[in-house]
Amino acid sequence: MPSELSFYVCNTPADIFEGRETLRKQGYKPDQITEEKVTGAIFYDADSFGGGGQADAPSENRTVLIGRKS
Amino acid sequence: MNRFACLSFFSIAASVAGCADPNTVLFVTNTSLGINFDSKPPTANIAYDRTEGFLGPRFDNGGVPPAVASIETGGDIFTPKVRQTYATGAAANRATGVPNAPQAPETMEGNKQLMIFGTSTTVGLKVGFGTTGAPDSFLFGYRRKEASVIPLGTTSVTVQEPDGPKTKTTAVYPSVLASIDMNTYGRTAPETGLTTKQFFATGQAASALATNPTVAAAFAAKAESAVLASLSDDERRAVVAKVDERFKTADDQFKEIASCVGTPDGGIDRARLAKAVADANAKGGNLLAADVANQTTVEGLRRRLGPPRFVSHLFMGLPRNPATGAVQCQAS
Repeated sequence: MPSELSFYVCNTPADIFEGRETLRKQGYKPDQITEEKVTGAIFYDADSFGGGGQADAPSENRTVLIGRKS
Repeated sequence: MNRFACLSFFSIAASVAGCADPNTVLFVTNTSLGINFDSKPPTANIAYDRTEGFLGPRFDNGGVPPAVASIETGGDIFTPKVRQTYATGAAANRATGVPNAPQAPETMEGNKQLMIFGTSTTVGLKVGFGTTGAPDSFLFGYRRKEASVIPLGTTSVTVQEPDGPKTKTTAVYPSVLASIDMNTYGRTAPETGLTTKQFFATGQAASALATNPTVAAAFAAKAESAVLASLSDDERRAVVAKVDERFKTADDQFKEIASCVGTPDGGIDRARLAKAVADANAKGGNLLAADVANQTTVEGLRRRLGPPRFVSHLFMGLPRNPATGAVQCQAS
């Protein structure tokens, strides 16, 4: 199980590049970053949102960048 | 004679010629990829085969004609992607980012010799869908051959030596470039399809094309998705500058956070941190999780906050001078 996860929701190639640059500066190596095409992204985190909430509403053809550190 | 037979004939003929002639370079790749998935019975097979070969001269100073070939496969079983690039001479140097790599010769002068450069690509896709709309069988086949047989050219320059002017001859490996970028989609029936982008060029065109983002992407950042190839150098530089600035700002902001909630021994004043977290969340976004306030060291807090976005959010929760709006730690 990874000890650290980071997510970036991207709408455009520039967003993806920006997300990759950001993850790189956070210390993620290229092979620790993956891309997932999604039709929507909802982040539900009870701790961060005081019992539940969403950071991003669903939309079409988004890419989620995921950084995993073990 | 069909295309395959023609290519094979040239390859065999050239390899024989190449063995005998150190002035000729033979460079070939042969790739095949197969994916077979079936739900009845549940089966998934993936096969991959690739051959790369180079036959050419080695010079006394250790120099060899530059050539590069790469293949990158990705996606998943229903969306296979293949990206291949093949380049020689100046195009190979420029595609791989050799510093100050020269362009291919601008003019065509001197004696002529025959050269051969060809590619052959075959792709097949068959997808069957079940009643649920999901694929219940998927068959994908891909084969590509790339080959060139190129006699080396020469350039001569006169150099002044202590014992008089001498003519120095340098070998030149002409440029050719071929690339293919193929994406397949077979996850749902309406969207099933195959897109390909191919380039094929020789001489100056190959040298110029080598820096095309789609081609260079094969070497620049293999982990990046193909979609990033659409970004220009200027767009990339702008994004890098933006991210750098954001991290610099976050570094400056974290220094203020550390000076407000940190203790001289690198620890944390928990009451000040808890208030800053609560105030930051109250100002909007509610981004900071409860455990951020439980950190016991400045370094631990830095790791827990992570990206600039969260540093900036906590920065918002620091106490301020009501008159100036500047951070004022003593007020907490």
